[in-house]
Amino acid sequence: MRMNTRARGTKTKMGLNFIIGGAQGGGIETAGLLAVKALAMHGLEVFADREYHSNIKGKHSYSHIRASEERIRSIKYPVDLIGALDVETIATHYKDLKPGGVLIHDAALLDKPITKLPPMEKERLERLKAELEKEDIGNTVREFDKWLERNGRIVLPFPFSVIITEKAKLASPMIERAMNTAMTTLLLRAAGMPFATILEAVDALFMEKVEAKELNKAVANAVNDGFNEFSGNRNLGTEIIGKKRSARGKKMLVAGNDAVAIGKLIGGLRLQTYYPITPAADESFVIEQHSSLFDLKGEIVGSPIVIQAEDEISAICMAIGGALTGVRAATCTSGPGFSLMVEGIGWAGMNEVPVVITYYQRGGPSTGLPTRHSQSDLLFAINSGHGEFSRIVLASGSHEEAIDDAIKCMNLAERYQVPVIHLLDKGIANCVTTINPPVFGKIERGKLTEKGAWDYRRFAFDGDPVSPRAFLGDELMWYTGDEHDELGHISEDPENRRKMYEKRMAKREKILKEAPDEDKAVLFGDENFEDLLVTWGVTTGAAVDSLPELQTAGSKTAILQVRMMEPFPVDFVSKFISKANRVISLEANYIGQLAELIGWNTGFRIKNRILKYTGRLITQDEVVKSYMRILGGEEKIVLMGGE
Amino acid sequence: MGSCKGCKWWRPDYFFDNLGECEKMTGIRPENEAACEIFEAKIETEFCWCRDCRVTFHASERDLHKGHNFFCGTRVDLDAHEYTSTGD
Repeated sequence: MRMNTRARGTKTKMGLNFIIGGAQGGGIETAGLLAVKALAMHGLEVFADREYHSNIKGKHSYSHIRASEERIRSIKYPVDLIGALDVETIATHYKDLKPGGVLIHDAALLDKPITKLPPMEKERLERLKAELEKEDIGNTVREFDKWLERNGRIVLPFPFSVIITEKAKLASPMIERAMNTAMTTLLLRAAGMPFATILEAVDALFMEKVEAKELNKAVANAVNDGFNEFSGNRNLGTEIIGKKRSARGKKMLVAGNDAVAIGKLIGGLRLQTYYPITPAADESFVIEQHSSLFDLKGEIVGSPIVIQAEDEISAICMAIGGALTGVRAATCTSGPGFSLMVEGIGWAGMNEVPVVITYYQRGGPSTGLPTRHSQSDLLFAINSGHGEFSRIVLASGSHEEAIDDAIKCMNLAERYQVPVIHLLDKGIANCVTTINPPVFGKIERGKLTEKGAWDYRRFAFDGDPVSPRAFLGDELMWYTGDEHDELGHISEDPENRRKMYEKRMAKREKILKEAPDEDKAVLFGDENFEDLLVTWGVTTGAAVDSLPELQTAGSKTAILQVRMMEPFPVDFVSKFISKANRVISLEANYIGQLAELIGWNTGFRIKNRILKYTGRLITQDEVVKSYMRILGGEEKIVLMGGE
Repeated sequence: MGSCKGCKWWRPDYFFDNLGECEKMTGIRPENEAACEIFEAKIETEFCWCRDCRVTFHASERDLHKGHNFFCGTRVDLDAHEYTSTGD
C-alpha cells in the first residue's frame, strides 16, 4: 500500500465526484445508495447517475456520484475517485480518473489478468486490448496500476478480501452484501467523511433489516480500522466540506420514479395501473409501498389501488375506466409500453377522458437499450394515435419538477378533460438527487355537473370546449370510440362531426391561453442573451450546471428549457428564439427532435445541434466542450462520453 | 498441500471469485486459504463452473474451456434480485 498520497491528492473543496463500479447483481446498487445517503446526511447536495446493464446479472454497472455544497443537476468527467469492485471497472473507467485522482480496488485483484473479462462486450474488449498494447501497459492489474501511477494517478489496492474474511468474520457467506459496504466505507473515508456519518447512513439504509444492518456495520468497522491503520487517520487528499446538517433545511433524497410517485400521491391519485417495464415500474412499486393516506388526525382516509395489468393495453384501458368512474387515474410506462397504449390514448382523446400517462423514455426502437437514457420519443408522444385530438405533453427537467408536474398533470387532465402525457426520461427516472420537500399543490377537479341533472349531456355544446363531467353511475351517458353526439350516441352527421371535432380541438387554444409561462418554458441566465441553448428533460441539468462556464467562454449565453411540448407554446418560445444571435439545440436523440418541433411551429430552423444517442447522459463537461466547438464553427456535434 | 481453490468442496463467488464458500464448512474462505483436513482435489464432474468464462459447462463442451479455471460449482447469492435493478 502507498502512503505518500496527501500531497498528490485531489483537493475538492466544493465536494466530490466519483464512480463506484462492479458487476450487475454484485451489490453495486446498494453501494451507490449507501454513498449518496451518507453524502446527503453529511449535509451535501447530491446527484447520482445509476448506469446498469439490462442483463440482470454479471455485466458492468456503476453509480456516478457528485456531491457539493451547491445544487448539482448533472454528472461530469473526469472524476476524483473510482471504487472498483472488479477488474472490469478498472478496465472500463481508468480514463475517467483525473490526474491526482484515486483508484481503489481489492488487493486480491492484483494478479488478475486485465483482459480476461467474461462479461465485457467484445467490441469494448478489443478496444481495451488495443489501448493496452499501444501503451505497453502489461496484462495484470498490478502492471496496470503501475502504469496509472506513472501517469499521475494514485492507486490504493486495499485488502478488502482479507478484511471481510478475517476481521469482519462474517457468520454466513454474504460476500456481495459485504463488499459493497466495504468499498463505500473506504471511498468515503478516503474522501474525509467522518466514520460516524457512514454508520448513520448504514442505519438509515437498512432500517428494520437488523441482520443486514449488523453485518454491514461490522464490515464498515473493520474497513475503518484498516483504513486508520493504513493512513494514520488522514484522508487521501480529497476533502468533503459540507455544512452541518442543522444549518440546512430538510432535504429529501429521491430518484425520479420516487418523485413522480410522491407527486401522484399528493395530487390525489386513486388508481395506478401498469405493466412492469424499465425504467417506469419502480414508480408503481413506490406507490404500493406508501399507499395509506392519512388525514390531519392521523386517520387513514384511503389508499390508491395499484394494479399490475396483463399488458400495457389493459393498463391504459383500466386507467381510462377508473377515470370515467371519477377517480384520479394514471398509468406509467416507457417506449415499448407506450406503443401498445396508443390505441387507448386515442379512445381517451375521442371521449375526453382525463387520464395521465407517465412516459419514461429509454433507448429505442423496439426493446432498444432498456436501461439506458434517451430523449427520442418526443415526437412520438406528441403525434401518437390516429386522427386528431387535444392532448397535453408536459416534459419535466428535474426531480422537483417531476413532483410538481405529476400533481399538475392530474389537474390539467381533469381541468381540460384530455389525456395528459407526463414526459420524462431514464435520466430523471433513475438518477438520485437531493431536493427540497415538495409543496402540497391544490387539487383542481375541473368542471363537474351537479348530480341529478335530468337532461345530462356528457359532450354538451355550451360554448366551452370542456363540458361538465359526470361520473359513471351518477348520470346517464354513453361512450364509444366512434364519433358521437352530445349524449355520446354514435353519429356520422357532418354538422355534428364538425362541431364535435372543433369542440375537442378548441381545447388546444384554451390550454395555451390559460397555461402559466413557467409551464411553457423556463429561461436560465441573462435575459439579454446573444446565444441561446434550447433543451429539455434531464439534459437541462447539464446545461444549467455549465452555464457559468458557457458565459465565461462565449458571449452572453442563456438556456431555454422547453416544458410544454403539446400544445406547443409558439408565441412564447418564438419570443426567445427571435432575439437570439445563435440558437443551439441540446438533446439526447439523433435528429434533434426539439429543434424539429420548434422549426415546425415557429418556422425557425435551428442549425446548430448538439446530440447524443449512446444511451448515456449528456454531461456538464460535454456541454462546455461542445459549445466551444460550436463557437469554433462546427454546426452539428455528436457526443460520445460515458461508459 | 493445495489451497481452497484446488478443493472439490470450494465454490467461488459468482462475482468476487477470489472469495468463496465451502460446501462443508461455514464462512467465507479466500481461494488461497491453506487446505484443511477435508481437502479433496477437485475433479471434473458432468457439469463444471468455468471461472474464466463465467458459465456452467457440460463435459461435452470441455474443449471450449481448455486451460481455463474450472470448479465443481459456483456460489450465487439467491437474494441478489432484492438489490438488483430490473432491466426489462
